[in-house]
Amino acid sequence: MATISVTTLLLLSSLLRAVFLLYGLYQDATSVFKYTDIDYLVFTDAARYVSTASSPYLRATYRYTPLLSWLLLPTTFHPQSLWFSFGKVLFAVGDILAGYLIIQVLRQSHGFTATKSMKYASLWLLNPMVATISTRGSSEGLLGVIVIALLWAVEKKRVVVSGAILGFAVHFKIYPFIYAPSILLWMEPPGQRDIMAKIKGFVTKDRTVFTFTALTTFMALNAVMYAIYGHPFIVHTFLHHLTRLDHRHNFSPYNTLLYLKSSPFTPDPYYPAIQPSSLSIERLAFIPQILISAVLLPLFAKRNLSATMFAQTFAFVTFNKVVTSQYFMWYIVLLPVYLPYSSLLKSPIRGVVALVMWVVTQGLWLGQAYQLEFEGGNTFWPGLWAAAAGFFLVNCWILGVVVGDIGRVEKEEEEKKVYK
Amino acid sequence: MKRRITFLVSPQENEASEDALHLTKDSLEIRGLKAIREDRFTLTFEELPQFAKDVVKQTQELHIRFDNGKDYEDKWKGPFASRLPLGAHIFATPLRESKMANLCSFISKYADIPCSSIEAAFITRGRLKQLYVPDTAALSNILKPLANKICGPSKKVCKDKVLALSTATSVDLRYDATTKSLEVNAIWATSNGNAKDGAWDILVKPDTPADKIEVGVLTSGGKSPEDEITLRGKLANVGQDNELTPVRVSFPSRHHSRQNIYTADFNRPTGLHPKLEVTLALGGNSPADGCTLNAYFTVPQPFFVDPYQLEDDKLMKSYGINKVKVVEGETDLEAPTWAMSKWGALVLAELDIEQYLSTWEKKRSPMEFTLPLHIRYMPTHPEKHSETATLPWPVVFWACPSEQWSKMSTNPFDRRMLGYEEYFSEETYFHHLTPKLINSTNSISSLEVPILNSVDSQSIEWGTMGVIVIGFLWVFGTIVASFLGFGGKKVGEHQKKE
Repeated sequence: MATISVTTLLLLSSLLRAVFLLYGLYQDATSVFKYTDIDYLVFTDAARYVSTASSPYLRATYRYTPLLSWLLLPTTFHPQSLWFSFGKVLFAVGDILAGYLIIQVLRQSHGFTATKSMKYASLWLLNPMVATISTRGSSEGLLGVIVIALLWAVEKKRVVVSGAILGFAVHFKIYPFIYAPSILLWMEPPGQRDIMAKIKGFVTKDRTVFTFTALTTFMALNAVMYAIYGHPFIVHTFLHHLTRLDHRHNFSPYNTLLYLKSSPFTPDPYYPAIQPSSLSIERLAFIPQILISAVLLPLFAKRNLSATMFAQTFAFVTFNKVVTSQYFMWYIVLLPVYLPYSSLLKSPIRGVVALVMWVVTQGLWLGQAYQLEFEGGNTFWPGLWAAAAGFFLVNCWILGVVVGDIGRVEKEEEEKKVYK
Repeated sequence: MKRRITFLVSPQENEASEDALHLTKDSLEIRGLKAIREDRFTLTFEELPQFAKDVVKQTQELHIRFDNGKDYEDKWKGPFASRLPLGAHIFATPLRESKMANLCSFISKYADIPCSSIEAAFITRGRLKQLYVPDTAALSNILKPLANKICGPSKKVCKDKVLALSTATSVDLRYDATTKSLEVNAIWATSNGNAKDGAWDILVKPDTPADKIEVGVLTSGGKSPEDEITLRGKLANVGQDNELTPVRVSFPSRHHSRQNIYTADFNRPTGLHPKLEVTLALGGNSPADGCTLNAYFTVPQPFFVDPYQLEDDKLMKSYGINKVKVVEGETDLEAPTWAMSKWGALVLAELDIEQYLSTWEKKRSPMEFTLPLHIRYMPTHPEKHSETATLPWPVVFWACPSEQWSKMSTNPFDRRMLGYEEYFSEETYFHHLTPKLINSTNSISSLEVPILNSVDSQSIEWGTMGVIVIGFLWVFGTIVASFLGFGGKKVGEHQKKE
């Protein structure tokens, strides 16, 4: 590892994806169990609608920005045997670009050696799970490159570019808005030691420019898309995600409760007085989620922006009302820029325990879900619920460790920034 | 009101002997006749009770059909070959722009079928609206209140006549705005009559001298050209004729039956993605060149099909289906049953007969095909851990396009608007396979859908709240601790490693 060049690492990771991609084509051609992700068919169907000048929202369950279907227009070209996979190649290239930017961030902004940067970037670049997800045609990898590009641009002090990327990212998938407060706090000018100085000197040129470009990009994209596709764009890209009551089982600890509360309630004949409480905690789920990920954690941004962004994403996913394994990609891409500061690496036992518990509780949940989905077993309560709760608590513990890590790097980071 | 009663005697049975039929001046007495029976009532618009007038006057065409899904037995079915998935099927085309609100309130009032509006409850196929209820009780449910309404509560004889329809294998109601007449057809296809030995013992007698009752006792008239059916037997207009008239008629028939049987069941375990597997004893031949073998499914809630999955030709070929030709109705891929207002969807699939016939010589095995399905989440319940979901078997038939098409208007038993023949050209003959019931009494398969038991709703609420609060407080605590600098112990160690 120590001797290879960045080019070699990128070539290796490209090779890994090429192999996965070709294997996927082979499996799709020979087996009824498809390698290609079901969402890829949604994207490409939507692109087909776009190619005939129709709306991508004619495809049921297309809940993304039209930009994605535009990007995938080449998948409608002929010959199909060649062009249909264009999107997977695009997502894989996005992956590799994200990996390259991770190396750049670690080297340029964090001052690590090339070898050390590549070691951490390999967690993303040579990660078979990441390679599988993008070559199956899931767009989450594309979001990875956007978020890393955001981090790169911010730490390189490219204010306009960072604002534009953030605006684009939020348009693409709502959740990156949580990074806005972190970035704004990180842009603190040197020398503001006490709270009064921080407040008085809050409005700076950089902050104003960043906010303005981010909002302009976000609103301009929305305006253009709304002008072209009208109301369905708003409904499917934004409103759907805000109003969905995902009652089907997923990793979220709220899941069983959402099923219970969204279903019509039949009173128990033995205890007819017992009704589901009118306090719908599931409707208040956004409070702990937003409080931690978008309000409290950004306060650490000044100490370590990259680790803070990892913690924010991890918190956002953990406390979300809907959690599927694709969401894990959102924070895995930030793992290489957090781990160098992590006690999970410095104390290997702690790291292994965290990884094992993360995997085991997820495995327990998957076992319960498999019984329900494919064997008709009734595992809703307590099995599936307990597994999701266990996974949630493990995630909270890991999040606590991450927060502790960020707290510890306070002094050196602060000093580094001041003397830069 | 006109009435026609047809007894179709199987060629295997003894022919109706002279003393089985006894015609007098004003009645016909039938004793010990083993036969399939069809009763047809024809009423003009003016003869209809007011509530029925209200319903039909909003429709251009209205068909209400029931099929009880019972075994047909391996008997000769003659012109009564066509079947439908068991339950109630309603097909309606509005007259002009009518919303057919009266039909909607009629079925919700009398058949207990939820219907807030036709738009919400029926699926739309162009102008045609379609509703399906997978419940054989739908017929008797609707007949009880209807008998009271038609006859008045005290007229037992009248009510018994109406209620007798509930034992029929199939009942068709058809109203046509161009002829302004309502036709009711009931078939007792199992030939189980009202006598103890399964024969018919009845006295046919017009209620009033004005009523006309035409009775025919018919059997197969022997060999007839393909696509035609020949019947011979005796006819009489009860109350008019003094003698039974011998007849021999030939007519083209849209529907024919084939002896090939099929059965269906879910592959187990079922889970939330069940598959209905249908096995056909096909015997390696088709009725004629150019025929396609098809399966028509009505897929009610909580089942649903994923139209995108059914579009995947390679996958469907692996399931023995050449092409899914039609998917219409409710195909939302995510919503639970309680968010659905429509009954479900219909699927017409063309089976991969080529593949099957090519291996028939070698394998001699029955043909199999599979419909992949999915299940919506169903409401929670305090006393149940699962709900039973039932899926009617499909009807399976050969569709044979024909150039030598004869007008069906000469067929006294023609049946159209069954839900599937509209997807074929008008000049198509249908040859129906026979469902064979082995371990069940109806052509239906069922499975158990796991549901959340809500008796623990309090624990679920408090448990979830507790877990969230614990997780939140833990993270919140570490944030506060880190912010106040309690976590800075290892800074020195950290710096060393840097």
